[in-house]
Amino acid sequence: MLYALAHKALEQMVCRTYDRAMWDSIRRIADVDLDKFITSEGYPRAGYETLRRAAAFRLGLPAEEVSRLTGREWMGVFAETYGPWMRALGGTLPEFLRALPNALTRMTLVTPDYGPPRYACIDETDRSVRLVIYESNPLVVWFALGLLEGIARHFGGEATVVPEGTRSEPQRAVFRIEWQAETEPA
Amino acid sequence: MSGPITLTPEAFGEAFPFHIAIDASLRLVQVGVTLTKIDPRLAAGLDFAERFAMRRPAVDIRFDTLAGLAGTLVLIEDRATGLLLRGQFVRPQADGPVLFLGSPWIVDPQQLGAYGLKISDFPIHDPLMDLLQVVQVHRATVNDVKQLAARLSAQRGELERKNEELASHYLATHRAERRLALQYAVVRSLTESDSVPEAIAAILRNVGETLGWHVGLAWMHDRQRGELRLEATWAVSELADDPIVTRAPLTRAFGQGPSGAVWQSGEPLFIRDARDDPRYPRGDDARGAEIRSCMWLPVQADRATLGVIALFSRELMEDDPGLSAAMETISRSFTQFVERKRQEDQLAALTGTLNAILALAPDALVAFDAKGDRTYANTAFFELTDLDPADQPAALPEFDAMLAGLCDPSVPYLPVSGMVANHADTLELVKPRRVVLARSVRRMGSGRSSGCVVYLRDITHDREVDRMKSEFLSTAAHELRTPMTGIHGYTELLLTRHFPEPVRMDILDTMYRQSTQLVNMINELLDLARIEARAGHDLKIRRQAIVPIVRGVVEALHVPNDTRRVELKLPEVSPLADVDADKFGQALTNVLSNAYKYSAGKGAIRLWMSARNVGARFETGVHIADEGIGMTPEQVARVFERFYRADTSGTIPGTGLGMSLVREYIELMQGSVQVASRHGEGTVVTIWVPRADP
Repeated sequence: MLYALAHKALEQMVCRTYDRAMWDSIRRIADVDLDKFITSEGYPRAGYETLRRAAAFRLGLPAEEVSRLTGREWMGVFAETYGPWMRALGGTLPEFLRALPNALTRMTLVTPDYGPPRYACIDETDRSVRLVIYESNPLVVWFALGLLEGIARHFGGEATVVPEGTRSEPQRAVFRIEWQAETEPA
Repeated sequence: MSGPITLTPEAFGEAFPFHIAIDASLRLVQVGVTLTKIDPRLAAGLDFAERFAMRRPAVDIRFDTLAGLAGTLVLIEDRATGLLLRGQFVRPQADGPVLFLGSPWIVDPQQLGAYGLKISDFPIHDPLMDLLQVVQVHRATVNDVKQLAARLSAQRGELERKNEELASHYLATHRAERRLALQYAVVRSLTESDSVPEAIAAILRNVGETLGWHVGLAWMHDRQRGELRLEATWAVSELADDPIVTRAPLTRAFGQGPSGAVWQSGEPLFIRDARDDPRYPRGDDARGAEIRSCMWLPVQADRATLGVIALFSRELMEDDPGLSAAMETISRSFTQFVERKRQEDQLAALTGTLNAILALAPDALVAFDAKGDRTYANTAFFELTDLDPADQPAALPEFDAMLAGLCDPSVPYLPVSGMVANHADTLELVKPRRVVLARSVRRMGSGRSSGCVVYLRDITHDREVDRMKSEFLSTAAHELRTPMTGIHGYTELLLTRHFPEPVRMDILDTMYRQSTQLVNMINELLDLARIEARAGHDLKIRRQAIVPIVRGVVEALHVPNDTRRVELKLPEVSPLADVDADKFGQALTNVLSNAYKYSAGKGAIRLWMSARNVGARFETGVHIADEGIGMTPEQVARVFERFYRADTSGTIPGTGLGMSLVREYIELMQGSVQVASRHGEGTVVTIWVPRADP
């Protein structure tokens, strides 16, 4: 089960990058009875996967790229949907990243079916942090990469996201996020 | 602070970032870090009662009151920032300060920003964040639902609009299809109609049935009377005998009633509910027939109103503005039908006349089209050739072969199929009977590829007449010249020589007799010519008794040098007949004169009368018999020919015109003449005339 933000992010990515006609075309190709997504509603993961595959086919992009672009869009959708809440998470990129694990946990309290990957921030310095995502699905990892890029973009500044590869036992992906100075939302 | 759990001030502050410690004098002795972050002025030393207000419960702030509220949920307000804090007062030590342990009471995530608070400012265990998240999710959900509702509403509006468009389009399409079906049905009916009234009835029925009406009336413009005349009615079966049909007005004046008004305006009239509409004068009939909607449509062509069609329905109908255009098309079709029918009637009359003329024509006519196929042959052709119409030659070559087969083989036949221009010649047929034909071939167009008409005229009789004319002229000239030769010769003798008186008298007597004969001959020729020219119009026919005429003729008859008397046998009561007494008497005189002349003073001359039936006609016969030289059958056959003389010796005077005159006179009086003769024994001539008495 996925909640609406991922679906919304995919839809908004297509509509912003291309247009609504392209999204309608993808929906027709996917033949999924999903039209409008409501924030507190859960939607079948299979429907999302079908939409993503249809988008990859229609846009002529690899599935990983679609996941990354969707993750990047996710931050915009999140800010639009949970503006005050997002601002409460943190006024700067490090603040936001540090609050992220707890925020995701709180999200599972409200939407118990929501099963986001577990995050952890390690090796924090004044200029960087390593974010560990405990997830084996490569597409989710690509989504997380896009998500981090979207977060960095949201807070402006010169932040960069560097994938440091995946590791097993436990399955995880590590991203190093570096920034030049304390950043605030753009 | 001491007890089973001892917290460092940092750990306490992290666990309770919104705590406040108050001493007995109500002075703040310690404030949580987050409260200080919200307002750095909020620090130890401030008076609690001045800075804060008790909201729940609303009690006066006194130290013992605060201490007594332990175990009670309280709500206090920071007067400076307006921040509400919920929590409880505790006094861990009996002689120590009172502690307020709580957290901000915020129900709107926006307030976090107003106070500069982050989630990290709250202890992880504080459920306020979860509450705010729930609120945030619910608000976002409500927002989504509102957006969805707005989108669905827009979609619904769009769908309703499209639905209306579709309904409108469907209605227009349905009406257009119905009108097309109507026009098709009308055109089909018109092609199947044989007369204008039949066409009007068909149009009315089609309009009614196709458009779903229940009753239809059609008035047509009577130009002679200047009014609308009811021409046809139509109704569904259950309304066929209803007054709405049976009491429909037979005529309508210009402007009278709805139909007259539509005639006047040329515009259609639609009444949705006739029961309450004053424009419909037959409201009672409408109510009786449960009529609801009515419509009057002008039947127009070229802006002229030909009539009005009225339609009635038991159901409420909707107006169809497009029907006027459809009716105009139908009207045009109807006008074309009327014109076509008029032309067809004219053509049929003309064709009938031509066919009658051609059928009655005594001359044969055969027509071929450009391909050489026969398109027409009249009755005279089949009579002339004795061909069966079923076996008639269908093509020009067969026709030529057939005609050549009937002709005299010794005369070359010129085929019609070889003629490229008009041509005229004569053909001598030997089969089925010997006739002479004048043939004229008229090509219709130019060249051999055009059609042609072959005209065959039987000129056998004309040829015979020409021959007889020539023979008659030759005979008449001869007969006239014979006495004239004698008169001329004797006159010449008398002029050149002197004769003794007896001889001179003898010559003059001969001249007199010959000139008398010449005069008689000329008179009789003139009589014959007159008869032919006047065809009996100068006869004075009246109903009269025959016997007195017979007696008068016999008594007046004087034959020189012959003492015989006619033996009469006449009825006591004379029959009546419609005759010219003079001409009838002259015919009798001629026959009696012949009887005397050809019996040479011998034998009896008898006259008697008889009667007979010829079919339903009664005839009276006058028989004159002599016992003279008589005639052979061949002579009898020619007895009525002009200048024919049974006596070839020339000793019996006569012109040879007498019997011709007899037959002409009697036939003009609707009678007939019979001659029965036996050579050497005598002749009986009978004159038959129709009896006029019952």
